[in-house]
Amino acid sequence: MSEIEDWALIARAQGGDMDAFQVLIVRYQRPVIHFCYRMLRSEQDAEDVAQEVFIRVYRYLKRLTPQAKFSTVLFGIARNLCLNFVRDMNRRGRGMGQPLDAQPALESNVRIPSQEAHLKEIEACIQAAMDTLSDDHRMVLFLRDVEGLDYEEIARVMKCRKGTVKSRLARAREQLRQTLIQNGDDLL
Amino acid sequence: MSTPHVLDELSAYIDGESHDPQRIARHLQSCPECARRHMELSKLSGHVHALRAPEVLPGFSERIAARVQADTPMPFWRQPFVTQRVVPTAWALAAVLCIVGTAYVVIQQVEAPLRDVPIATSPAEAIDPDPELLAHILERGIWETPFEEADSEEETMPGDLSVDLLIDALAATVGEEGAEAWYEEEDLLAILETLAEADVQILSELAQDHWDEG
Repeated sequence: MSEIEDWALIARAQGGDMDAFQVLIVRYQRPVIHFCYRMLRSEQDAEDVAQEVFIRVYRYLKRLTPQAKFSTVLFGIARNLCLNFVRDMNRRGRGMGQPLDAQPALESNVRIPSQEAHLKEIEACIQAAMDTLSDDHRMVLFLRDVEGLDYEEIARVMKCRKGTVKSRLARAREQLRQTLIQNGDDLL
Repeated sequence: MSTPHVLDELSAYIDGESHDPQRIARHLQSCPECARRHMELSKLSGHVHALRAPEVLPGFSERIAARVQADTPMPFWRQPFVTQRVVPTAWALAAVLCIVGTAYVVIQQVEAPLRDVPIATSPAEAIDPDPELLAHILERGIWETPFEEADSEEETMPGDLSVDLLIDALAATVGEEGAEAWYEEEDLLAILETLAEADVQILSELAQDHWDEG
Protein backbone atom coordinates (compact mmCIF):
# COMPACT_ATOMS: atom_id res chain seq x y z
CA MET A 1 0.00 0.00 0.00
CA SER A 2 1.28 3.40 -0.86
CA GLU A 3 2.55 5.62 1.88
CA ILE A 4 1.68 8.60 -0.28
CA GLU A 5 -1.85 7.38 -0.13
CA ASP A 6 -1.68 7.28 3.65
CA TRP A 7 -0.41 10.82 3.90
CA ALA A 8 -2.87 11.97 1.27
CA LEU A 9 -5.61 10.55 3.45
CA ILE A 10 -4.10 12.28 6.46
CA ALA A 11 -4.10 15.56 4.56
CA ARG A 12 -7.77 15.08 3.71
CA ALA A 13 -8.56 14.17 7.31
CA GLN A 14 -6.71 17.28 8.43
CA GLY A 15 -9.13 19.21 6.26
CA GLY A 16 -12.04 17.67 8.15
CA ASP A 17 -12.75 14.72 5.85
CA MET A 18 -13.95 12.08 8.31
CA ASP A 19 -14.34 9.50 5.56
CA ALA A 20 -10.61 9.70 4.84
CA PHE A 21 -9.90 9.07 8.50
CA GLN A 22 -12.27 6.11 8.44
CA VAL A 23 -10.31 4.64 5.54
CA LEU A 24 -7.13 4.90 7.58
CA ILE A 25 -8.79 3.20 10.53
CA VAL A 26 -10.00 0.31 8.41
CA ARG A 27 -6.59 0.02 6.79
CA TYR A 28 -4.67 -0.16 10.04
CA GLN A 29 -7.11 -1.51 12.59
CA ARG A 30 -5.92 -5.09 12.28
CA PRO A 31 -2.15 -4.49 12.72
CA VAL A 32 -2.74 -2.06 15.56
CA ILE A 33 -5.11 -4.41 17.37
CA HIS A 34 -2.70 -7.27 16.78
CA PHE A 35 0.20 -5.27 18.19
CA CYS A 36 -1.83 -4.35 21.27
CA TYR A 37 -3.05 -7.91 21.62
CA ARG A 38 0.49 -9.32 21.66
CA MET A 39 1.50 -6.74 24.23
CA LEU A 40 -1.55 -6.92 26.49
CA ARG A 41 -2.67 -10.54 25.99
CA SER A 42 -6.34 -9.66 26.04
CA GLU A 43 -8.57 -9.05 23.04
CA GLN A 44 -10.80 -6.68 24.94
CA ASP A 45 -7.91 -4.64 26.30
CA ALA A 46 -6.28 -4.69 22.87
CA GLU A 47 -9.38 -3.27 21.22
CA ASP A 48 -9.78 -0.61 23.90
CA VAL A 49 -6.19 0.52 23.58
CA ALA A 50 -6.30 0.31 19.78
CA GLN A 51 -9.34 2.57 19.80
CA GLU A 52 -7.43 5.00 21.94
CA VAL A 53 -4.55 4.88 19.46
CA PHE A 54 -6.79 6.12 16.66
CA ILE A 55 -8.42 8.69 18.90
CA ARG A 56 -4.97 10.04 19.71
CA VAL A 57 -4.08 10.14 16.05
CA TYR A 58 -7.23 12.12 15.38
CA ARG A 59 -6.48 14.55 18.20
CA TYR A 60 -2.96 15.12 16.92
CA LEU A 61 -4.02 15.16 13.31
CA LYS A 62 -3.21 18.81 12.78
CA ARG A 63 0.32 18.31 14.03
CA LEU A 64 1.10 15.29 11.89
CA THR A 65 3.62 15.89 9.14
CA PRO A 66 4.51 13.36 6.44
CA GLN A 67 7.09 10.87 7.66
CA ALA A 68 8.63 7.79 6.12
CA LYS A 69 5.76 5.54 7.09
CA PHE A 70 2.48 6.41 8.71
CA SER A 71 2.52 3.02 10.43
CA THR A 72 5.55 4.10 12.48
CA VAL A 73 3.44 6.93 13.90
CA LEU A 74 0.66 4.50 14.71
CA PHE A 75 2.89 1.91 16.32
CA GLY A 76 4.74 4.62 18.24
CA ILE A 77 1.47 5.74 19.80
CA ALA A 78 0.38 2.12 20.31
CA ARG A 79 3.65 1.34 22.06
CA ASN A 80 3.25 4.25 24.47
CA LEU A 81 -0.36 3.41 25.25
CA CYS A 82 0.40 -0.27 25.77
CA LEU A 83 3.24 0.54 28.15
CA ASN A 84 0.97 2.95 30.03
CA PHE A 85 -1.74 0.33 30.17
CA VAL A 86 0.63 -2.33 31.49
CA ARG A 87 1.97 0.09 34.09
CA ASP A 88 -1.54 1.01 35.23
CA MET A 89 -2.57 -2.64 35.44
CA ASN A 90 0.48 -3.47 37.49
CA ARG A 91 -0.30 -0.61 39.86
CA ARG A 92 -3.81 -1.91 40.31
CA GLY A 93 -2.49 -5.36 41.01
CA ARG A 94 -3.79 -6.84 37.79
CA GLY A 95 -0.58 -8.19 36.34
CA MET A 96 -0.16 -8.85 32.67
CA GLY A 97 1.06 -12.38 33.18
CA GLN A 98 -2.26 -14.02 32.48
CA PRO A 99 -2.42 -16.22 29.44
CA LEU A 100 -3.78 -14.78 26.23
CA ASP A 101 -7.43 -15.04 25.47
CA ALA A 102 -8.37 -17.90 23.28
CA GLN A 103 -6.13 -17.80 20.26
CA PRO A 104 -7.66 -15.90 17.40
CA ALA A 105 -9.03 -17.78 14.48
CA LEU A 106 -8.31 -16.96 10.90
CA GLU A 107 -11.22 -15.17 9.39
CA SER A 108 -11.29 -16.31 5.83
CA ASN A 109 -9.24 -19.47 5.65
CA VAL A 110 -11.20 -22.59 6.17
CA ARG A 111 -8.97 -25.20 7.78
CA ILE A 112 -9.62 -28.73 8.72
CA PRO A 113 -9.75 -29.28 12.47
CA SER A 114 -6.38 -31.02 12.71
CA GLN A 115 -4.61 -28.20 10.87
CA GLU A 116 -6.32 -25.63 13.00
CA ALA A 117 -5.39 -27.47 16.17
CA HIS A 118 -1.79 -27.73 15.03
CA LEU A 119 -1.61 -24.03 14.24
CA LYS A 120 -3.11 -23.16 17.59
CA GLU A 121 -0.59 -25.36 19.30
CA ILE A 122 2.30 -23.64 17.55
CA GLU A 123 0.88 -20.23 18.32
CA ALA A 124 0.44 -21.13 21.95
CA CYS A 125 4.05 -22.29 22.19
CA ILE A 126 5.38 -19.17 20.47
CA GLN A 127 3.25 -16.88 22.54
CA ALA A 128 4.24 -18.64 25.76
CA ALA A 129 7.87 -18.17 24.83
CA MET A 130 7.25 -14.54 23.86
CA ASP A 131 5.62 -13.94 27.21
CA THR A 132 8.98 -14.53 28.83
CA LEU A 133 10.44 -11.59 26.92
CA SER A 134 10.51 -8.06 28.19
CA ASP A 135 8.02 -5.62 26.68
CA ASP A 136 10.73 -4.00 24.56
CA HIS A 137 11.98 -7.31 23.24
CA ARG A 138 8.47 -8.47 22.43
CA MET A 139 7.78 -5.22 20.61
CA VAL A 140 10.87 -5.30 18.41
CA LEU A 141 10.17 -8.90 17.55
CA PHE A 142 6.60 -8.11 16.59
CA LEU A 143 7.47 -5.01 14.58
CA ARG A 144 10.16 -6.88 12.67
CA ASP A 145 8.72 -10.35 12.15
CA VAL A 146 5.00 -9.60 12.03
CA GLU A 147 4.87 -6.09 10.62
CA GLY A 148 8.08 -6.28 8.62
CA LEU A 149 9.40 -2.86 9.61
CA ASP A 150 13.08 -2.31 8.98
CA TYR A 151 15.50 -1.39 11.76
CA GLU A 152 15.29 2.30 11.02
CA GLU A 153 11.52 2.28 11.28
CA ILE A 154 11.55 0.19 14.43
CA ALA A 155 14.05 2.62 15.95
CA ARG A 156 11.60 5.43 15.20
CA VAL A 157 8.76 3.56 16.86
CA MET A 158 10.83 2.54 19.88
CA LYS A 159 12.56 5.93 20.13
CA CYS A 160 15.98 4.35 20.28
CA ARG A 161 19.00 3.95 18.04
CA LYS A 162 19.19 1.55 15.17
CA GLY A 163 22.02 -0.31 16.88
CA THR A 164 19.81 -0.82 19.92
CA VAL A 165 17.13 -2.36 17.72
CA LYS A 166 19.69 -4.72 16.24
CA SER A 167 20.98 -5.91 19.63
CA ARG A 168 17.48 -6.18 21.14
CA LEU A 169 16.31 -8.30 18.25
CA ALA A 170 19.31 -10.58 18.49
CA ARG A 171 18.79 -11.04 22.23
CA ALA A 172 15.03 -11.49 21.90
CA ARG A 173 15.45 -14.20 19.28
CA GLU A 174 18.12 -15.99 21.22
CA GLN A 175 15.99 -15.95 24.38
CA LEU A 176 12.98 -17.14 22.44
CA ARG A 177 14.99 -19.95 20.88
CA GLN A 178 16.32 -21.11 24.23
CA THR A 179 12.87 -20.95 25.82
CA LEU A 180 11.37 -23.08 23.08
CA ILE A 181 14.17 -25.61 23.45
CA GLN A 182 13.77 -25.66 27.23
CA ASN A 183 10.03 -26.10 26.90
CA GLY A 184 10.67 -29.08 24.65
CA ASP A 185 8.70 -27.52 21.82
CA ASP A 186 9.69 -29.18 18.63
CA LEU A 187 9.34 -26.13 16.47
CA LEU A 188 12.89 -25.40 15.37
CA MET B 1 40.55 -22.78 7.18
CA SER B 2 37.87 -22.08 9.80
CA THR B 3 36.50 -18.57 10.29
CA PRO B 4 35.07 -17.08 13.52
CA HIS B 5 31.46 -17.97 14.28
CA VAL B 6 28.82 -15.47 13.21
CA LEU B 7 26.13 -16.43 15.73
CA ASP B 8 25.72 -12.89 17.01
CA GLU B 9 25.30 -11.57 13.49
CA LEU B 10 22.70 -14.03 12.31
CA SER B 11 19.71 -12.05 13.52
CA ALA B 12 20.66 -9.00 11.44
CA TYR B 13 21.64 -11.27 8.54
CA ILE B 14 18.19 -12.85 8.51
CA ASP B 15 16.65 -9.38 8.47
CA GLY B 16 18.85 -8.24 5.61
CA GLU B 17 20.45 -5.65 7.86
CA SER B 18 23.92 -7.16 8.04
CA HIS B 19 26.89 -5.01 7.08
CA ASP B 20 28.69 -7.90 5.41
CA PRO B 21 26.17 -10.47 4.20
CA GLN B 22 28.60 -12.11 1.74
CA ARG B 23 31.06 -12.98 4.49
CA ILE B 24 28.28 -14.49 6.63
CA ALA B 25 26.88 -16.42 3.69
CA ARG B 26 30.32 -17.89 2.98
CA HIS B 27 30.74 -18.79 6.63
CA LEU B 28 27.38 -20.52 6.79
CA GLN B 29 28.43 -22.80 3.95
CA SER B 30 31.39 -24.03 5.93
CA CYS B 31 30.16 -23.96 9.55
CA PRO B 32 27.46 -26.51 10.53
CA GLU B 33 26.91 -24.91 13.97
CA CYS B 34 26.22 -21.45 12.58
CA ALA B 35 24.20 -22.95 9.73
CA ARG B 36 21.99 -24.83 12.22
CA ARG B 37 21.49 -21.70 14.30
CA HIS B 38 20.66 -19.77 11.16
CA MET B 39 18.02 -22.33 10.29
CA GLU B 40 16.55 -22.24 13.81
CA LEU B 41 16.36 -18.47 13.87
CA SER B 42 14.82 -18.43 10.41
CA LYS B 43 12.16 -20.90 11.50
CA LEU B 44 11.57 -18.91 14.65
CA SER B 45 11.08 -15.78 12.60
CA GLY B 46 8.61 -17.64 10.44
CA HIS B 47 6.61 -18.80 13.44
CA VAL B 48 6.40 -15.29 14.86
CA HIS B 49 5.40 -13.99 11.45
CA ALA B 50 2.60 -16.54 11.31
CA LEU B 51 1.00 -15.32 14.52
CA ARG B 52 -2.56 -14.46 13.67
CA ALA B 53 -4.25 -11.22 14.52
CA PRO B 54 -7.43 -11.35 16.54
CA GLU B 55 -10.59 -10.83 14.59
CA VAL B 56 -11.58 -7.22 14.39
CA LEU B 57 -15.00 -6.92 15.93
CA PRO B 58 -17.63 -5.40 13.64
CA GLY B 59 -18.15 -1.70 14.07
CA PHE B 60 -14.64 -0.98 15.32
CA SER B 61 -14.11 2.02 13.05
CA GLU B 62 -17.65 3.25 13.66
CA ARG B 63 -17.07 3.18 17.41
CA ILE B 64 -13.95 5.25 16.95
CA ALA B 65 -15.79 7.68 14.71
CA ALA B 66 -18.49 8.04 17.35
CA ARG B 67 -15.90 8.69 20.02
CA VAL B 68 -14.14 11.20 17.82
CA GLN B 69 -17.40 13.01 17.19
CA ALA B 70 -18.12 13.06 20.91
CA ASP B 71 -14.57 14.15 21.59
CA THR B 72 -14.52 16.95 19.05
CA PRO B 73 -15.76 20.24 20.45
CA MET B 74 -18.56 21.56 18.31
CA PRO B 75 -18.10 24.92 16.66
CA PHE B 76 -19.29 27.73 18.89
CA TRP B 77 -22.32 28.43 16.75
CA ARG B 78 -23.45 24.80 16.90
CA GLN B 79 -23.18 24.27 20.62
CA PRO B 80 -26.52 23.57 22.36
CA PHE B 81 -26.26 26.60 24.60
CA VAL B 82 -25.90 28.84 21.58
CA THR B 83 -28.52 27.17 19.41
CA GLN B 84 -31.07 26.75 22.20
CA ARG B 85 -30.53 29.90 24.22
CA VAL B 86 -28.37 32.54 22.62
CA VAL B 87 -29.77 32.45 19.08
CA PRO B 88 -33.48 32.58 20.07
CA THR B 89 -32.71 35.31 22.58
CA ALA B 90 -30.80 37.26 19.96
CA TRP B 91 -33.68 36.92 17.52
CA ALA B 92 -36.16 38.04 20.15
CA LEU B 93 -33.95 40.97 21.07
CA ALA B 94 -33.56 41.92 17.42
CA ALA B 95 -37.31 41.76 16.95
CA VAL B 96 -37.92 43.96 20.00
CA LEU B 97 -35.29 46.44 18.84
CA CYS B 98 -36.83 46.46 15.40
CA ILE B 99 -40.29 47.18 16.81
CA VAL B 100 -39.03 49.83 19.19
CA GLY B 101 -36.94 51.45 16.45
CA THR B 102 -39.85 51.51 14.04
CA ALA B 103 -42.12 52.91 16.70
CA TYR B 104 -39.57 55.59 17.52
CA VAL B 105 -39.26 56.67 13.91
CA VAL B 106 -43.01 56.74 13.47
CA ILE B 107 -43.48 58.79 16.62
CA GLN B 108 -40.73 61.16 15.52
CA GLN B 109 -42.42 61.69 12.21
CA VAL B 110 -45.85 62.15 13.71
CA GLU B 111 -45.01 64.38 16.63
CA ALA B 112 -41.58 65.67 15.66
CA PRO B 113 -41.04 67.11 19.13
CA LEU B 114 -38.23 69.53 19.56
CA ARG B 115 -35.39 68.26 21.58
CA ASP B 116 -34.18 70.22 24.49
CA VAL B 117 -31.06 71.55 22.89
CA PRO B 118 -29.28 74.81 23.41
CA ILE B 119 -30.20 77.54 21.02
CA ALA B 120 -28.44 80.71 20.09
CA THR B 121 -29.41 83.55 22.30
CA SER B 122 -27.04 86.24 21.09
CA PRO B 123 -25.29 87.32 17.87
CA ALA B 124 -21.94 86.41 19.38
CA GLU B 125 -23.14 82.93 20.03
CA ALA B 126 -24.57 82.83 16.58
CA ILE B 127 -21.20 83.70 15.03
CA ASP B 128 -19.38 81.15 17.08
CA PRO B 129 -22.10 78.60 17.56
CA ASP B 130 -22.05 75.65 19.80
CA PRO B 131 -21.46 72.43 17.80
CA GLU B 132 -24.54 70.89 19.33
CA LEU B 133 -26.54 73.88 18.30
CA LEU B 134 -25.24 73.60 14.76
CA ALA B 135 -26.16 69.97 14.68
CA HIS B 136 -29.60 70.85 15.89
CA ILE B 137 -29.99 73.47 13.24
CA LEU B 138 -28.89 71.21 10.49
CA GLU B 139 -31.14 68.48 11.74
CA ARG B 140 -34.24 70.46 12.60
CA GLY B 141 -34.23 73.16 10.13
CA ILE B 142 -33.33 76.79 10.27
CA TRP B 143 -36.87 77.98 10.80
CA GLU B 144 -37.05 76.35 14.20
CA THR B 145 -34.33 78.38 15.82
CA PRO B 146 -35.80 81.41 17.53
CA PHE B 147 -33.77 84.47 18.12
CA GLU B 148 -35.40 87.37 19.78
CA GLU B 149 -32.53 89.80 19.85
CA ALA B 150 -31.77 90.08 16.20
CA ASP B 151 -29.42 92.89 15.47
CA SER B 152 -31.55 94.30 12.76
CA GLU B 153 -34.22 96.88 12.50
CA GLU B 154 -35.85 95.04 9.73
CA GLU B 155 -38.54 92.68 10.60
CA THR B 156 -36.91 89.48 11.46
CA MET B 157 -38.28 86.44 9.97
CA PRO B 158 -38.14 83.16 11.69
CA GLY B 159 -34.89 81.60 10.74
CA ASP B 160 -33.00 84.75 9.87
CA LEU B 161 -30.39 84.21 12.45
CA SER B 162 -30.45 80.61 11.66
CA VAL B 163 -29.22 81.49 8.22
CA ASP B 164 -26.19 83.05 9.85
CA LEU B 165 -25.70 79.99 11.93
CA LEU B 166 -26.04 77.89 8.87
CA ILE B 167 -23.43 79.97 7.11
CA ASP B 168 -21.13 79.40 10.07
CA ALA B 169 -21.83 75.75 9.82
CA LEU B 170 -21.07 75.88 6.13
CA ALA B 171 -17.89 77.77 6.85
CA ALA B 172 -16.80 74.91 9.01
CA THR B 173 -17.59 72.52 6.19
CA VAL B 174 -16.77 74.33 2.97
CA GLY B 175 -14.65 77.17 4.30
CA GLU B 176 -15.24 80.84 4.71
CA GLU B 177 -15.18 81.57 1.00
CA GLY B 178 -17.89 79.10 0.19
CA ALA B 179 -20.02 80.31 3.02
CA GLU B 180 -19.53 83.89 1.95
CA ALA B 181 -20.48 82.96 -1.57
CA TRP B 182 -23.79 81.74 -0.41
CA TYR B 183 -24.25 84.71 1.80
CA GLU B 184 -23.37 87.29 -0.81
CA GLU B 185 -24.39 85.74 -4.04
CA GLU B 186 -27.03 83.48 -2.70
CA ASP B 187 -25.59 80.90 -5.03
CA LEU B 188 -26.99 78.04 -3.09
CA LEU B 189 -26.48 75.41 -5.75
CA ALA B 190 -22.76 76.19 -6.05
CA ILE B 191 -22.41 75.62 -2.35
CA LEU B 192 -24.54 72.54 -2.32
CA GLU B 193 -22.40 70.93 -4.97
CA THR B 194 -19.46 70.94 -2.60
CA LEU B 195 -21.33 69.17 0.14
CA ALA B 196 -21.87 65.55 0.85
CA GLU B 197 -25.03 64.07 -0.59
CA ALA B 198 -26.73 63.67 2.77
CA ASP B 199 -25.89 67.22 3.72
CA VAL B 200 -27.12 68.46 0.36
CA GLN B 201 -30.47 66.88 1.02
CA ILE B 202 -30.75 68.47 4.43
CA LEU B 203 -29.60 71.86 3.27
CA SER B 204 -31.84 71.79 0.23
CA GLU B 205 -34.82 71.17 2.41
CA LEU B 206 -33.77 73.75 4.92
CA ALA B 207 -33.12 76.34 2.28
CA GLN B 208 -36.35 75.60 0.53
CA ASP B 209 -38.24 75.95 3.76
CA HIS B 210 -36.35 79.07 4.54
CA TRP B 211 -37.14 80.71 1.24
CA ASP B 212 -40.71 79.58 1.39
CA GLU B 213 -41.14 81.11 4.79
CA GLY B 214 -39.16 84.19 3.86
